[in-house]
Amino acid sequence: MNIKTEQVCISVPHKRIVSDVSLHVDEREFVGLIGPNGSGKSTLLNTIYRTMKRESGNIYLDDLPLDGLSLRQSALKLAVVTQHNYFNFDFKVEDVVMMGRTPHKKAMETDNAADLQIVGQALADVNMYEYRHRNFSSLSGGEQQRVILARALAQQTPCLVLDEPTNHLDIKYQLEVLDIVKKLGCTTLCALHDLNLAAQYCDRLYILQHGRIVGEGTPEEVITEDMISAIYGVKASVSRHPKTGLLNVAYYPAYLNSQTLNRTPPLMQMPHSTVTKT
Amino acid sequence: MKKLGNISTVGLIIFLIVVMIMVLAYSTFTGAVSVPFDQVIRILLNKTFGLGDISDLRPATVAIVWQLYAPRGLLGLIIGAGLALVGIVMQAMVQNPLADPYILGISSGASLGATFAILIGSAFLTGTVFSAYGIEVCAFIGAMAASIAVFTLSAIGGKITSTKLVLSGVIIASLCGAFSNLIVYLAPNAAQMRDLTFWLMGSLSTTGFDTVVMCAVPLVICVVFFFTQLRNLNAMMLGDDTATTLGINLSTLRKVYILITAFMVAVLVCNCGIIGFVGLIIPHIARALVGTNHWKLYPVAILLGAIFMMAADILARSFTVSEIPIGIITAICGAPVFAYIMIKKSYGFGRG
Repeated sequence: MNIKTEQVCISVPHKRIVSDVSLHVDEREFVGLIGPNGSGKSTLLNTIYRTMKRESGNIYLDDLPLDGLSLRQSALKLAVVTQHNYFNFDFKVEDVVMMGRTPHKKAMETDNAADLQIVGQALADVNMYEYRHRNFSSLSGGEQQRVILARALAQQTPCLVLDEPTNHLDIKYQLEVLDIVKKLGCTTLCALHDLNLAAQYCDRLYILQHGRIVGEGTPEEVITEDMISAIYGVKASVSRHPKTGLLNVAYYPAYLNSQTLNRTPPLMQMPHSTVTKT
Repeated sequence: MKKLGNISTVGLIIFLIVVMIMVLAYSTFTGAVSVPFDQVIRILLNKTFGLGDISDLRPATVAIVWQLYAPRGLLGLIIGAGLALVGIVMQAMVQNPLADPYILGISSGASLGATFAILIGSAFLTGTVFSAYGIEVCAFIGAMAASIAVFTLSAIGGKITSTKLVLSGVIIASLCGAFSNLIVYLAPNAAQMRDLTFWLMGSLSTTGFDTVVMCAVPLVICVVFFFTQLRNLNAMMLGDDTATTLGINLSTLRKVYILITAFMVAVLVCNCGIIGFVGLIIPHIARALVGTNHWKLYPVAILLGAIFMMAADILARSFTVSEIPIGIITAICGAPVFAYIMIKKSYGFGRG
C-alpha cells in the first residue's frame, strides 16, 4: 500500500497554496511533512484525504487514481487523524471509535461482536479502554486526541494520514501518540512541526515551503543547521544525541550572541543538577 | 455494561410504546362532548373490524367518535413523530443542535406555498396530475425553496456556521411569514382569513381519516428511509471533514436529505399548519435519555414526538371550550427547553 502525488497544485480563490508537489510514501514507510506555518502542509493533506479539491496533478492510492475510487473505497484504505476535533454534539467515547467502522458497514448492518472487539482493542491500544463509557467532551485534549487515533485504528486501514497529531499535547502524549503509530507499521504520512519529533520518528522527510517541496531525504540528510536557518529563519545546532543516537535539534534564542554561545560550558560538566529525582 | 445499556434502551422503547398507546386511547376518549367509555369501544370495534352492532347509538355520537376523536389522536401521533424525525435529520445534517424546520424557516416556506395555493388559487395546476394536490405541491415547492435559500445563504463566504444558519433561518422565516400574512390580509372574506390564521398557528382538527392517511403514508416512507441512514447520520455528526474521511458522500446525501425532509415538512404543514419547537426539543430530550447515537436516539425520539404531540393536543383541547391553537402550546413548552439547550455546556454552537 502506498501513497503518491504527481505535480499536485492547489489553489483557493486568488491564491496558489500548493505548487507542483510530487511525493511518495512507500509500503510501511513513515514519512514526515515539515515546514513552517502556512507552507501548505494541511492543505496538501486535505487534498489527499479528499476534503479539498486540487487544481491539477494526480494522486494515487495503492497505485490507483484517487478520483476513480469512491469515498468509501478510499476510506477503507486511508484513515485520518487531524488536530482539531470539536463536536457540536456529545458522543460516548466508544461511539466515536465505533464510527471508524463506518466504511466497513452496509447501511442496515448493525454493530456486531467483531466490531465491538475491534473498537475495544483500538481503545486499549491507545490506553483509553477505561474511558469507553465517558462522554467525549469530558476528556482532556490529550485524551480526545488518543480517542481520535483509536477511531483511525478501528478503521483498520493500511494507510494513515496525520495532520499535526501532537499539537496541544503534553510531551508524554506527543511521544505516546507517535509511538502507537510507529508500532502499527502502517504506510504513514504525517505533518509535524516539531523537528525533533520528525527526526526521531520519520523514515523520510519532505520539506514544504511556500507550497513547494524544497527538500527530501532521511532526517540526517534533511535536518541540517543550514536548512533550519534557511526555512525557519532560526539558528540551531544539530547533533547526534549521545544516548539515543538520534538527531537532536537545539535552537538558539535570539538574545544569545555568538560569544555567550561559545563560552557556555557543556551540560555534562555542570556541578549538580537542580532537578531533584523523585 | 454494554449489554445493560442495550437492555435499558429496549426497555425504554417498550415503555414509550405503552405510554403512546395509553395517550392515544386517552386522546380518543376525550373531547368537548363526553361519550361513555363502552360506547367509544363499541364504535371503534364496529368501524375498524365490523364487529358488533351500533345501530342503537345516535348517529351524532358515532360521527363525533369516528370522525373527530379517533382520527385526531392518530394525527397527533403521526405529526409528532414526523416533526421529531425531521428535527433529528436536520440536526445531524447540519451538525447543529439548533436545526429544526421551524427555526430554519422551512415550515414558513411550506406555509407560504400553501397559503398562496389556498387564496390565490392553484388554478395553474388544473388539468395536470397535481390538480388534486395543489396545496401540497405548492407547500412542497415553498419548503424546498426555503431549504435551498437558507442553506445557500448560510454557505456564502465559506463554511456553514451555527450563527449564519440560524440567522438565515430567521431571515427566510420572517420573509415567508410576511408574505403569508400579506396574503391573509388581502384575503377576500373574513371567515377564510380566520381559518387561515388558525391554521398558520397549527391545529390538529381534522375532518376524518383522509388526513390521517395523507400524513401516515409519507411518514412511514420517511421513517423507513431514514432507518437505513442511521449510520450515515452518526458519521455526519462528527463534522463534514471527518464524515468524508469515513467514506460518507456528504454532498449527495445532503441533497437527498433536504429533498425528503422538505417533502415531509410540506405534508405536515399542509395538514396541520406550522407547529413549532417539536422538531427542536424532542431530539434534545431523547438525547438526554439515550445519548447521541442514532441507533438509540431515532426510535426514542420518534416515540417521544408522538407522545408529546398527542399530550399537547389534549391540553389544547381541555383548557377552554373552543380549542387553543396547538402551536401556542408547543411554543410555551418549547421556549424554556430552547433556553436550557443554550445554557447547557455539552452542546457546542460552532466555534465562536
